[in-house]
Amino acid sequence: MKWKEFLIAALLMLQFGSIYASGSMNVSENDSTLAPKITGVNDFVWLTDWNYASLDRMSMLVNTGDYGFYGPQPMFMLDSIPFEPSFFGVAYSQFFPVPHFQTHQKELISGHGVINGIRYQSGIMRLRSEPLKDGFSVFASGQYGHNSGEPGPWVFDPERVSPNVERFGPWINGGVSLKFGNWYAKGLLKFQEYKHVDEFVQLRMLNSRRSPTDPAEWLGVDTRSVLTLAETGFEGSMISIKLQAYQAESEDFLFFQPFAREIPSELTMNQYSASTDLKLHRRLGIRGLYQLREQGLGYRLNRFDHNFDWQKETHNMHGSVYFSGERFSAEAGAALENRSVQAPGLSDYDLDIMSLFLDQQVQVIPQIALSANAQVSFLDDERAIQIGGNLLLKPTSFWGMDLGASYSELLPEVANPLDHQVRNGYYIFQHLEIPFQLPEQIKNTRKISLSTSQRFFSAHTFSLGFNAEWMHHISMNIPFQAALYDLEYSTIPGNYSLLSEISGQRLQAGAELQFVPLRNMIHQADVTITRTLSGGAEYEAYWKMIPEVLVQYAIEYTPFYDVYLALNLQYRSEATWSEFSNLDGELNRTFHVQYPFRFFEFSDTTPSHFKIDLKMGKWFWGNRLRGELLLKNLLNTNYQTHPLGVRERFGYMARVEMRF
Amino acid sequence: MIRHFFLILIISAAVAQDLYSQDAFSEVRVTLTGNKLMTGNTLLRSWDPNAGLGVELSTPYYVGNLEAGYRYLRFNEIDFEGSAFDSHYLFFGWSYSYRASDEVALVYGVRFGKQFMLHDEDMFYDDYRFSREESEFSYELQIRLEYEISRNVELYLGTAYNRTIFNIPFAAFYGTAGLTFKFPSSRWFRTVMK
Repeated sequence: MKWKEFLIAALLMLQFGSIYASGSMNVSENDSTLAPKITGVNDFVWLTDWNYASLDRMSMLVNTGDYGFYGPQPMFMLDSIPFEPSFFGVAYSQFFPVPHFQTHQKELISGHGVINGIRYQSGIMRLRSEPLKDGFSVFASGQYGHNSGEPGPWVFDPERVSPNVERFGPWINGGVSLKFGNWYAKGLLKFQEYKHVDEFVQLRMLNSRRSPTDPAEWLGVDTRSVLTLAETGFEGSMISIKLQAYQAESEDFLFFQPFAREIPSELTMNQYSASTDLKLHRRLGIRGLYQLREQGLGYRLNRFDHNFDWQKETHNMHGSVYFSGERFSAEAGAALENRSVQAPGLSDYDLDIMSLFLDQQVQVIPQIALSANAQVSFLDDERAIQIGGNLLLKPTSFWGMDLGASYSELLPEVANPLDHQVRNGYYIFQHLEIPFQLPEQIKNTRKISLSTSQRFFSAHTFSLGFNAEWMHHISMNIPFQAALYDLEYSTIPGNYSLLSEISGQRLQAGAELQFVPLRNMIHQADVTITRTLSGGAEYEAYWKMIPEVLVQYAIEYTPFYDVYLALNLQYRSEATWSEFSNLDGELNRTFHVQYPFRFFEFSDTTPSHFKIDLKMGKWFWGNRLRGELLLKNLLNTNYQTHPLGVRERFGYMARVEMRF
Repeated sequence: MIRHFFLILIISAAVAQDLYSQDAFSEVRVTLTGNKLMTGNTLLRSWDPNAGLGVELSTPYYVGNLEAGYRYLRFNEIDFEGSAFDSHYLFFGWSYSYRASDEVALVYGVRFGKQFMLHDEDMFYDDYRFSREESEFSYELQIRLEYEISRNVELYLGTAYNRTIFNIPFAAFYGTAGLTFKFPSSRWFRTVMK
């Protein structure tokens, strides 16, 4: 795809749109006819300055800009209830308690703060599910897809035969909901299956899934996850109550960074939540949340009997009082987290983290507002403080600006939980035979940042924003695994160390644009540029894992009330993962059972790429039935976000959905 | 090739400038076709296709037409024993009709679908078995002439460029001739399609 062609295409799209502006087409503003925002893991961070790396396009490492892929991961929240899809820093989209396509809105915030009485410390991904319809509703959805490049008839030609390609699916979702007045109840079933066939991952996975008792028995590389959720609630003007329970399990693989490859694992998650929002007065209320969360990493049959044998139980209690006035609003509260972990070598790993928080905003005059938040966490005799403030200015009706400053500390139990547990006796590194070095004491992660943003807007048709943030990491603890090359497994673990008290400075700047030329067409663009300004070699190497330039552009077009088209374009610059430098240039091959052998070359650098995705969908039967087709990576380039992860080429995903 | 296809797709939509609102889903058009693969790439050195049959459904949309269909061809083996296969192409698509006169329309469109290839036998390499069932995403650009013979019957003559994105892509030009039978759509059909 040449730039000139792209430009012509973009202009033609604009022209096409303008035709309808003067036409007499029946255009509906019904939200449900718009394209679903989320189809795959990349959509969760699409059009933001966050980015992700995925080995299998189901799980992901998230960089919020604050601490990189191996730093503290963001909090996840759906409809004001937090959930935890992550195991040792890897977030599994299968464990999001909402089908991808029913994610109605997303809001990604970096840094720390408080939202609806819930404090977050290293970013938050806030999702909203589709609003429930009144009365009784039911839906079912099936999804399937695969990459291009099947061998076709050439399987019969020994000179031209090639391996079968990766398939994803079926993904099956079903749900039921009731909504009468202020009361609602809903249930969800989410099933996802996936087969790891991509040559970059299959060798490691298949070799580890050999039977421990019969070397000739290969146990397969499928992953299967099931999630069930039940929720009920009452949302009145004075009181809101929610009760939610969800359970998820997955026969899966966990890419364990200290081990530099996947470990077959049984992932489990049970979460029970109760939340309430009670208004005592028109402007005064209290909020409360209690959560019990049980996470487990269990044994999945594998050649080495590798087993995390890890169980974590977390009790979370949040309580706050809020005041919401015309010019002043504030929320103050406390949170208690009891976290206990049971694993080989750990005894009495039972932590009580107490936190106090305050969040407030003052509208000084219509053009000036001040906001500030503060959190302090206590664990035994340790303490961590997070404070931040923003000056919000609106000099004119079309121009707004924001100046911010923050200081953040994170306890090692929060920022580096695995290392902390190993430090306290968890025997996993010895069990996996990983040579390792940990510092005598893991200190708090500390960061200062200064930020500014400018936003220009015009009614609902146009907005343009610029932002910049300077970060000074006073002290970070960076996990580093010097992975070694191995023909049979791609990698074997080298020396693992926690690089402690690493410091440096970063700059992140960007721009975002939204243009709505027509009611049925939205153009959006986001540009993010990052640079490491100073820091030692380890700091610089760590941040090279993050692409320096990310450009994303999207057009969403609804020509008629029942049809939508969405076009996403992305440029992402290369990124280098220094912990895989021993693999750079080494040859590897496809799994030896699979025919024919294919050799390919590892690189510690994911290449820059330009990618185009096209999504189209049509509703039938008065919005009861929907067919959707996603064509991914139309240019058929090698799109890779992790040096050991899948290379996504052209592929498709088809989905059928029914709802009544 | 995909980049060209993508460009053509957008241009096709944009060129449809004299758009007008029409009575969507007002009729159903059923076309029975005979298909002949006229030329193609290297795959045809090892497999020889017979003429095939197909059926297509089309209905007017607010702009252009929505389509779905099926095409069958048998590919006989030339080189590899047991490799003959039945090709089943299932697709959906969109087309735009340019009406040259009351009787004649020039129609061009794009189709997306899946090509299913069912071989006569599995293929073995030592212990490794390739299933006789292979399938892959396939897209098609089509142009056709429609000539109205009577109020309810049309002659259909078209050609299509089809590309199936195997590891070694299979590209082919098909010639198609057929008869189209037009029916006013029923209320339930319009209800389902809207």
